[in-house]
This record gives sequence, C-alpha cells and structure tokens, in this order.
Amino acid sequence: MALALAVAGACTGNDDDDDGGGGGGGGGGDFDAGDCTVVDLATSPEKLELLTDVADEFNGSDEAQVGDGCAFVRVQRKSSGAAESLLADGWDESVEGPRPVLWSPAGSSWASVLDQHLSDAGEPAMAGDGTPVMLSPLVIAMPRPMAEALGWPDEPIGFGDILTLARDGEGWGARGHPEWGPFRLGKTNPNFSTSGLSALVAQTYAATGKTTGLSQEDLDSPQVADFARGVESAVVHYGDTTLTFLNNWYRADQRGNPYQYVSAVAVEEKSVIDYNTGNPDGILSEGEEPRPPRVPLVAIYPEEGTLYSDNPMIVLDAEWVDEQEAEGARAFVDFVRTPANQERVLEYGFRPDSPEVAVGDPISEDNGVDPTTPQTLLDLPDASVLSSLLADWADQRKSARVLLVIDVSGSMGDEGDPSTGETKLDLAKGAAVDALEQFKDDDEVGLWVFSTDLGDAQDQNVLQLVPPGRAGDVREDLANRIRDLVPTNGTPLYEVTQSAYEDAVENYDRARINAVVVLSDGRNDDGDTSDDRDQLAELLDTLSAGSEGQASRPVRVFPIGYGADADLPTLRQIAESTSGAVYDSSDPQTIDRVFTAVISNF
Amino acid sequence: MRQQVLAAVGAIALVVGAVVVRGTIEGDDDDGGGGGGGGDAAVVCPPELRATCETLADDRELRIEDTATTTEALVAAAGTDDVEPAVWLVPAPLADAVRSERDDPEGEAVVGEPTAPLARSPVALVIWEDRAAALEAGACAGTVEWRCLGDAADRPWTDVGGEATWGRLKVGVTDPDTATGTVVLGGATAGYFDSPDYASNDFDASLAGWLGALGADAAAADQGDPVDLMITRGPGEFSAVGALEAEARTAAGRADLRVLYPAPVATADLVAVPIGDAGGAADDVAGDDDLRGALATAGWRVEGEATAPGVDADASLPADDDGLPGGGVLRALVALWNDTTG
Repeated sequence: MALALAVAGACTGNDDDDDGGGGGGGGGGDFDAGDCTVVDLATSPEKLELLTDVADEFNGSDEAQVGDGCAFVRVQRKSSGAAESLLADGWDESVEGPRPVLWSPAGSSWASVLDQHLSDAGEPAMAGDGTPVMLSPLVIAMPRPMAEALGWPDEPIGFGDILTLARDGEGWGARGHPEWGPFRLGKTNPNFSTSGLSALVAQTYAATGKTTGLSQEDLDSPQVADFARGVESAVVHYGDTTLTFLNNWYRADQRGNPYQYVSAVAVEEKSVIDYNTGNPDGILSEGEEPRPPRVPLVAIYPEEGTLYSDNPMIVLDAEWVDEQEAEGARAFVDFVRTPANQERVLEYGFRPDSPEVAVGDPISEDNGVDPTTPQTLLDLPDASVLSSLLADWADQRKSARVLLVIDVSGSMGDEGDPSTGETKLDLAKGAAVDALEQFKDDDEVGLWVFSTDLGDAQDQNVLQLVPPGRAGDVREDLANRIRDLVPTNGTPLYEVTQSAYEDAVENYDRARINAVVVLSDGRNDDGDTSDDRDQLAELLDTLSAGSEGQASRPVRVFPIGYGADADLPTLRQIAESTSGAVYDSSDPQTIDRVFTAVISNF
Repeated sequence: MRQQVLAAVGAIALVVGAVVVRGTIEGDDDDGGGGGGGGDAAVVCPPELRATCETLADDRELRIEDTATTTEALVAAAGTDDVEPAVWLVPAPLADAVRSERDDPEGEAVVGEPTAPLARSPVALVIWEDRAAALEAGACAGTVEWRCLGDAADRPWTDVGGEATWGRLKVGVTDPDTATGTVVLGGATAGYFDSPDYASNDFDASLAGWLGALGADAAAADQGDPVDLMITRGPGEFSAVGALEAEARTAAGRADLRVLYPAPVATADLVAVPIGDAGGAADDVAGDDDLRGALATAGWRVEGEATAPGVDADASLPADDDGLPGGGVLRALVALWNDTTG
C-alpha cells in the first residue's frame, strides 16, 4: 500500500502555521512579476519562510536578470510527499496552485521516489539529480532527562536501544523512572514526511548492521521485519508532519509534564533547535514570542548512522517547463548557494551546504545539538529498494483502532462543489470511502454518525452504524454504510465526541494506535444552547484527564473542520486535549486530501 | 555536481559535444574563431576549470568540454583539416594520450607541442585529524599513504584502528572521468605501486580490488566536489578525500582536517596544447596574465604569481616531472576504475 498511499496528494494542515504540506501560498512576497518570467517554486514547509525571504531578495536583483529578461520566483509550500504524488499522478492547478518549475523537497530521496513512480508508469524521469542547498540530519529528539537516563551524552544511542526500550514491559521503569511510563515513539508516515522516510531507512539499516547497500534481500530477512515491528510497536501515532508531535510536546511541557506524551521523536536537527528556542513549529506568528521549554530536547544522532535531509533544488524536466523558466530557476539556485544566503540558511537552523560557511550558532550544544556529528552517514537505498521498504512498512507499521464519527447534520446537505452540484456530504462520503483503502486489513475501523433526532424513534444523537472490526472484514460494509448517509438535523458535537472518546477508551487496545476521527461542519447544536459551555468544559476535562498520567489510555482525537462554518477553534481545543491534531478542510473540495492526511496518522 | 556542471555548461555552452571536430560545431560557416597562429584562437577547457577560463579575454571563444570527449574526438580525427583550430588547456598526460593513442602515430598530428606547464597542482589527501591519527596508530602503522588508505577503505573503522561510532572508512576522490580526477587517480595509483612508472600491463586483480575499495563510495563523491561534501557533511560522508591541492585548499587551516601530500607526489601540470593549425596561439594563451592570475587565485601554483590562501607553498613539488605515467596508461586506469566501481 505504501506507494499507493502516496496517492492522494496534498494534505491540508493540522495547525495554523504548518499545513503539513498542503497547498498554499508562500511568497515571493507581493506577487507582481512585471514582465519577468515567473518561476514557480514548490518547497517543503520547514524552509518556506527562508526561501520566501531569499526569493524576495532575488526578485528584482541583478542576479535575477537572465538572458534578455528577468526571472521572478514565486514560492508555494507543498510537503515533500504530497508534491511527489502530485507530480507523479497529475498536478491539478485549480486545486493545488501552479505547477512548479523548481521543486525543493526536504530530501533527495523524494526525487528518486518520483522518478521511480514515473518509470513504473512508463513515463520519463522528471527530477534527476537536484542541487542540495541546505542540510539537516535526522536525529532522535528526546527530553534531556530521558536521554541522560539512557546514558547520553557519554553512551552512544541508536535504534537498537529504542527497540530494547519498546520491548521492555517495564518501560522507563527499567531505567529507573517508572513515573515516565512506557517508552513511546513519535515517527511520521514515511509516505508523506521526509523525517519519517529517513527514520524508516535508518532503522532498517540498524536492523542489518550495514551502513550502505541496503538490498531487497535485507528487507526479506525475518530479523529485519521483526526489528521493524518491534520499533513500530512503540509508536504513538504517525501523521504527515513532525510539527504535530513538536506542538503537542511543547504544550505538554508547558503543562509541566513532557515525559508521557511521547519519549522520543524522529525529527530533523533543525526542529530540535526550533523547539529549544521556544518556536516548536519553526514559524513565529505575528505577536508570538518564543519561550524556551521547561525541559529542553537533545538531539541523539543514531549510533548506527543517519541521513541528511539535503533539501535539493530540482529544475523539473517536465513538459510545462520551458527553457526560459528553467534558466531563471537555475539562476535562483545559484543565488541560494551564495555565501551570503548560506549564512542565512544557518540562521534558520539548517547546516549550510557550502564549505565557505562554517557551521556555527544556532547549531550548538546550547540548543541541544552537536555540530561535530553525525559521525556515520547512511547511503540512500536504490529507488526500487526504497519502494519495497515503503511497501513493507505498510504491513509492519503499528495497527490502529479508529472510530470514524461523521456529522450528518442538515448543513451537510449544502452545496460543496458548485461545478458538479455535489453536496458537502457527497464529497465527504467519497473521501471517506476512498480513505478506507488506506487502512491495512489488520486495522480495526468503526463508523458512527451523528446529528439530532436520529433513529427510528428520532430520539438519538448518534448511530453506531458499524462497530470497530478488522478493516479487511468490514471495509465493504463501511463503504456501503457511508454511501447511504443522508443529511438530517442538528450537530450535537460535544456530546457525541465525548461518547465516541469514552467508547474508544473503554475498548482501548494497548497494541494499537487508538483514535477517534470526528468530521464536523458546524458548531455544537443539540437544540439547547444553555449548557453548551458546560458541555464543552466537561468534554475537555474528560479528554485531558484521559490523556495524562502514566496509567492513561491515550486515545487521540483528530477532528476535521469541514466547510466554512466548522468551529475550528473548538475542534483544535478538542484535538490538543488529547495530543491529537486538527485538520482544516474549510474548502470542501479539499476533503479528499485532508482525509488522506488524517489517515496518515495510522 | 558533475551533472550540475554539465547542466550549467549546457546553459552557457557555446558548443556542445565533440566540438573540436569540424562539422559538429554550431555556426560552422564562420571561421570557428581559429586561424593559423591567431592570437584569438578558441580555448577548450575542462568543466572544472570553467570559472578560471572565463577570465580569458572576451574576444576569445571559450569551449567547455569533458576532457575525455575532446581526447576521443582528437584520437579519432583524420587530420588537421578535420579539427577546429583551438588551444586546449589540459593536464599534460592527457594531451600526450592523443598522440599515443592515434591509430597512425606516424600520420598527421592533430595536436602540436604543448607549452611548458603554466600552472601546477599536486595531488593531496584530505583527512580528518582524528581519523588520520587512528590510521597512523592502526592500519597504516605510520604516515598515511595511498596504499594503506586503499587497503583500509570500505572496512569498518574498528578493523583499522578507529572507533565503532565512525562506521566504515569512506574515501572520496575527485571524479576520475574529469581531467583533474584522472590525475588524482593516477597519483593514488602511483602510491599503490610506490612508483609512477607503471603501465597497464601491471594492472591485475589485486589492483582492481584495491581500486574497488578506494572507489566504494565513488557514487557519493560524484554528487559534488568531494572536499566540499566532506566539509559540509562531516566525517560521516568521507573519512578522507583525494583531490588536487587547488581543490583541497578549502580544507587548509582547519584544525580538524589534515592535508597530506602522499609520496610519490604527483602533480597536475596544466599545459596549453595547440589543436589543428592553432600554431602559436598556445603560447599566447599560456602567457595570458588574466588566465595565470585566475589560476593562481583558484589555488594553482603559477610561477611568478602569489599562491592563494590554503596553498602550502612550502610543500615542494618534483621539478620537471609530474610523477605520473603516460596519458594512455591513465586512460586505461580510468577505464579500470569505472569497471571496478560500477
């Protein structure tokens, strides 16, 4: 499923600042290209701000003079995996924005994956080799006291230690800290996220003891598969961006307990710097003041070796790219590589890809990272091995138990796509049915719908249409039930969310990722507004209480704010109370990719 | 990086491909910029010298070509009428290869006598200080030389005196398919034989194995300038890198890196070679002050010019000898390298 999972394209955000890859505008500042040739650049989100700044300086400069004209770089953000799938499967400009001339995923691995996909489809390569412009190694971020409990900084730590911790029934108790509970790992979905892909490669190398030449034979080894399952068993949830983990971790830290949400997260080194400087998502919103966490993270460079995210700039060899655009793109790449701009790269927490700019602050021990490492680098596997690795991961990843809760209130009958006349519910049903294919057979999936006056007696607010069961067994039933949904009455959001959450807690399965996905298009509306505030307070208390403490049964709630009237702020509170993430699908036509992003957590 | 360079060349190229051969040049109707003994003869440069060559006077036509491409074209050319007059800047043995490899050595020469070297750069070995110390105490049992480095290459550091966390001993060398990389490989192999006087009939399975280990990370080295990669990505990328001194000077002066000149020292001696009837134009190019200054700035040793920062002027070079075998041997060596490293 892995490569097939990289299907659906961009995902809309789970957070105000990070869209996890969806679309969206970045910059090139105000868009007035004049007579210049527009060079559209799609970049992974973590360097959007940096490249927007650089593009603003480039546009109108002497360096932008190309031939008889000039180039104007326009920046948009697209997560690496999302952009890869769009380039492979077709980039719809009406939904995704302009097709890029220049593509900068976080790692060169995505170029390999793209060209492999195109080759599989009998199409010519589009990416080839790009030009790296900045570096950030994959690290395992841990709260400093936890790292010290493992012997850091004197003892090397790697994926082997993580496996040992994951399998130890005593959890942190075996390391003298029973109060920290079980070892919990944060790792993003490798079909979407570069750090997730790098972590998958690194842990697989660790299983083989090799640092180069990872082969299909290696992947076929039962020991390698066993190692993978062991590491994956500790995963809290996956997802399309590390920022979900970092934001939740930071909030937990601010509440005074960063130890029980997650013990370690595979991230890029830059993210550790951002976190420790009080800017966990790497972007400072207007008026936001960075506040360092109470407990800083430290970067552990896996002893078995790691990989760099090398942030290549790739001038696409695509039919929509003409020579003038390509020439402008190359001029911009040269501009980014100038020493002055490489200094700027460093300021943003990346390692410069220029020998003329020495690594220095903020890449320092003060920020929890070590500029003298990594000592061992791993080779990127061949594209075919990478594809197999992703396919294997789809089977080896931690299984999930997910309750889908869908709003069928009357407003879901409103128009969702003016071009086709489909209602919001029509679009949501299509996306939900498609998303079912992303679950592996061993996942357990159930379906509830909610509105007011449901049931034969019209006295229920929720209908439990399909109890959670193996996706392999219930997928067709789920799809049929979803297709049959019709819009009805009100939106008893709080009550139903609480019921679904409590049900998930009651049926908690320690061996799985336990989650509730709530799709809602409106504010709480159960016919009685007088108790809304109390209902919400009770709900949030329940969610928070259930997510904290070592004896907790962590059930993550992932709300989808659907349509322009969704109560996104409240949905965000609900998500954050469980260390989940909210997803914004205020444009109903984005629901396909949003569903894909949500399911990437499992 | 090589692909980047080629891409860039494609963008600015005046001509592409085996350009020295008549009839393959765009705009072949004009005089091709040549002319017997003309001072404005076109100049052919390898891609790695592009920036330097661009300092030549604007009225000179500049062609950026792979040295291998130029060599092949000249070897195959029927005679002077078959080639465009030009001046070729290239390490001396590669010009020599044209003469030695032409089917009819007694036939019409397509290249004239090269000038005296206008610039020199020795083959250097850049190695992380702690790795060098480990090898000295371990596998090399003394000074780090090419032979012991190649013997230790691609092995776990724990086998050769290093630490477990260092992983595998990874060596990068400048891409041997480039002119300067050919010289580096020739110098490294002189270290293997402990003599520059080797020939292709000395090549055997033992050498192939040694080259295979030395080139185990050739693919990574081809991703860019290996010295730059080593510096920007750290010791995990390469434990040691072989390159010309001119390419290695970014490493000079760093406390964590050591620049060595392993014996026997080999040098890239850059000469200007007249192609076709370019005649005395080679001397003009070789004497071009702008070019000489640019070469010195780029880290080459140029008589009468100050050395650039990072060039160890105290490291003496063998006089009148580049410490390399003939060009034909070097081309055979590169072919063996490509066979063994895939």
